Amino acid sequence: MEVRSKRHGRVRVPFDCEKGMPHTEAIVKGIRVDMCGEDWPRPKDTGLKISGLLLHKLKLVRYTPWLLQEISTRLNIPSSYTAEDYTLDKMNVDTLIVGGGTSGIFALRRTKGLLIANDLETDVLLDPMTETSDLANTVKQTLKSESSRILKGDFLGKFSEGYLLRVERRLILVNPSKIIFATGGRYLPPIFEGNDLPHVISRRLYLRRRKRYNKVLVLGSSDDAVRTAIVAKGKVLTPEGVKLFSRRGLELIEEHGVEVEEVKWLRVKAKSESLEATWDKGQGKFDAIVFSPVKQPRVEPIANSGCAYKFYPNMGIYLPEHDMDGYMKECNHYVTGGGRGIWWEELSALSGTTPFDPEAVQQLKEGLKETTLRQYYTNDFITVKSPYLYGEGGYMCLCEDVTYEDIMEVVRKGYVDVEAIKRTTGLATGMCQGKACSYIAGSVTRSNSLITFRSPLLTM
Amino acid sequence: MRVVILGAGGHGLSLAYHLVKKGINDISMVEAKRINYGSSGRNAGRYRYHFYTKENVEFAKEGIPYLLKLCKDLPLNPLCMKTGYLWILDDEKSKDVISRAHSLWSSEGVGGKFLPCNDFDFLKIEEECYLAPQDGSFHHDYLSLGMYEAIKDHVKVIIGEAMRLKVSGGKIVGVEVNGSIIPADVVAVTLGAWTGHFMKRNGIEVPVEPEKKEIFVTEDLKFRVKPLTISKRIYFSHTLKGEIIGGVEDEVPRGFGELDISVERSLSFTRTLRSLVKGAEGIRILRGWSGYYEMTPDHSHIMGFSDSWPDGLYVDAGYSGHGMMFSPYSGKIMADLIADGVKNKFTKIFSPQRFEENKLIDERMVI
Repeated sequence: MEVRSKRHGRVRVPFDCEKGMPHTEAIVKGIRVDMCGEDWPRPKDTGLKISGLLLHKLKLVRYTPWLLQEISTRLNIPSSYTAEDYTLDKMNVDTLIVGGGTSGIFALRRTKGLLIANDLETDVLLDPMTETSDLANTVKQTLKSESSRILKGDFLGKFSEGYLLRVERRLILVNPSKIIFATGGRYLPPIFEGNDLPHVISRRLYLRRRKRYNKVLVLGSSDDAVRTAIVAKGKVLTPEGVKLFSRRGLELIEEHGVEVEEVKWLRVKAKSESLEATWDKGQGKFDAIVFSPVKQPRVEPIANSGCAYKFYPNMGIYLPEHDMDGYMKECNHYVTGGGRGIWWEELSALSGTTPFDPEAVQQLKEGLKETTLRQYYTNDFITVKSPYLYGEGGYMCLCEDVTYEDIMEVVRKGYVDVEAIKRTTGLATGMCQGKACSYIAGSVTRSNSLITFRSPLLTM
Repeated sequence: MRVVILGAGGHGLSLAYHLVKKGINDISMVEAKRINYGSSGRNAGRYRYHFYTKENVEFAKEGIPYLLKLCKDLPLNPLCMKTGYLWILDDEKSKDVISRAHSLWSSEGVGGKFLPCNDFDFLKIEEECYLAPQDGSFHHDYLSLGMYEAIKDHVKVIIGEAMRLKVSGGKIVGVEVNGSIIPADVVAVTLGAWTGHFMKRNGIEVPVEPEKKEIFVTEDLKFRVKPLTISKRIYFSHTLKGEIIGGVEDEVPRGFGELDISVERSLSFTRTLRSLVKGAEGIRILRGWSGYYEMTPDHSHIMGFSDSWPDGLYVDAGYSGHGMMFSPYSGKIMADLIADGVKNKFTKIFSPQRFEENKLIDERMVI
């Protein structure tokens, strides 16, 4: 199935199948269709890139207000939504774990609490390098043995009455005394011309769909880019001067002979049904371009719940403010695993136990020493170029079709933090509500803060 | 003249904008959070001529054309568009209020008309409606940031909370921010819902109180709800980017609190909207936020100064739920008053002294 983007009419498919990410849902004749269950078209370079900033620059628009309405009615958006409704009830929960990845599962083993997650297929079960490991087995066994304490559903955020969960058509209010945010992290599309083309996808999506792709180009500066390249037998392109590999990542590069090339710029075009990538030192045709620039924690449920976060310039990401055991003093909750930036699953599992086990804290501290997260705990901040920057083109915000150039134009005018960028360009106001774009924009502009992540965290 | 403006929302920015136009070059703005943080960045962006009192209708008859003029001049386009306001007369109270107001509006030359609601394709109900076609919409951020963009190189923005006014010999000489005194000949308080709080801290009674309100936006739906539509339960309208924006009409106790939203109102808004709008039967909300209406005892704003205050102290605040649309015009009136000593008739009508003199305005249409 083919969907067109809202303003520019570009052919798009999801870059990741996480619920709530851009283009994961299409509305067809009023019915919600999960795009991840559909076949996707080959890459096509279509549509019309008209900068939204023209609204301000073309004075004519101000004398022809009917034109605004005319433009509005031509936007590529749904005409109807089929009826649905919710029931609302309450539940007593003392400890709530949000997220069903490795660290969430390991935290669940230590509490009598409840776990809620809308996706229980964690990466460790999908990656051929880990799917048969002991750790993967423990995760699988726990999912089975503790199934009565696992809710498959959404965490919708904080409201005046409490925290809201959704399981199918049921809304459930809870008031837990402790929340463990095992919300994991995500890989977001880097900036380059052609970054919105179908089959430019995240590592997670690739792991789920890898049998469909033969020739793959990997983008990224993280250990997970290396792991992706090993699975995909492809090369890794990293922006010049941005290497965020840990010791283990470097060993893997050596061991598997992974080719890592630093690039100044990259451009991707749709050519005869495949993706043609050109960069300063090379080119090639690919079935998919798979990115894992850096693992960005899902900060939005954490910030929404009143916890603080900050920009970590050493990796160009946003991290919840937390201690080594995962405690977040601003809100009195905990964060584990990918939610605190961790990508190796052994460390992730360990971080799921640190809220309950002081001995694990020391072990985790040792483990993190070998990674680029270590300076977060020692406050040794150095600024690196954003791991998302592969060029000066493409889209920054897919839902509202805001381009990199539009963002740079308002940045040059002094609107540098993500909130100001949002309010001048419309970035982060679309379907994903900034779950993707706000982090990329912030990383590129080194903004100290993101936007206010408002409830509900998913459409409700 | 050294002018310090407290609060960088729509009204503060507009005052600065008009002072800069007059050539005043020593302007500082004190903002506790960020430009547009308060109600200026949280409202639904609508304008209207239709108020319950003659005073406010007449103010709108000057203020709204001024807003529309500014829409054409600013470096950002505030997307001003005539959309109308549409009242669904679904209970006796609204019928009564609108019928009374209709004669005032007609005599003021801004009359609307009664018509069946199903003249509007998007509505699913069989009631009587009232359309005020003169009203419309704008983009609140583009309006205030447009004013800011025009003057940002001519004003100093200080991030911090204004604490104490410094007065000497009955005159304002400065204001304390971040532990130090900013010298000033004029301090203009445009703190919106925080105005009463600030003034009280300085021993002056200005009756502006916050009232928390929630706003929701939905997923995209093809543009159809052109007028701002008001039922007894909710009000709502389409934005040009396809969302439906609106809120719940209910009484909320006044006071500062957590700026969150409630599950109850979120569901109430969604359910009512689904029952009213064709095609929106299963529409969901994307997000909600809350902010403050800035309430006065007569639901009308306060502008100017009181004879009992120190010289050089001015206030422009207390616009209930209709502050954004008036920010351009109010800033102009205030700038004329501060820079040139010109007293517009509205500075008398909406004077802070009216509460002592018991000349209340009795505005009842707060949306």
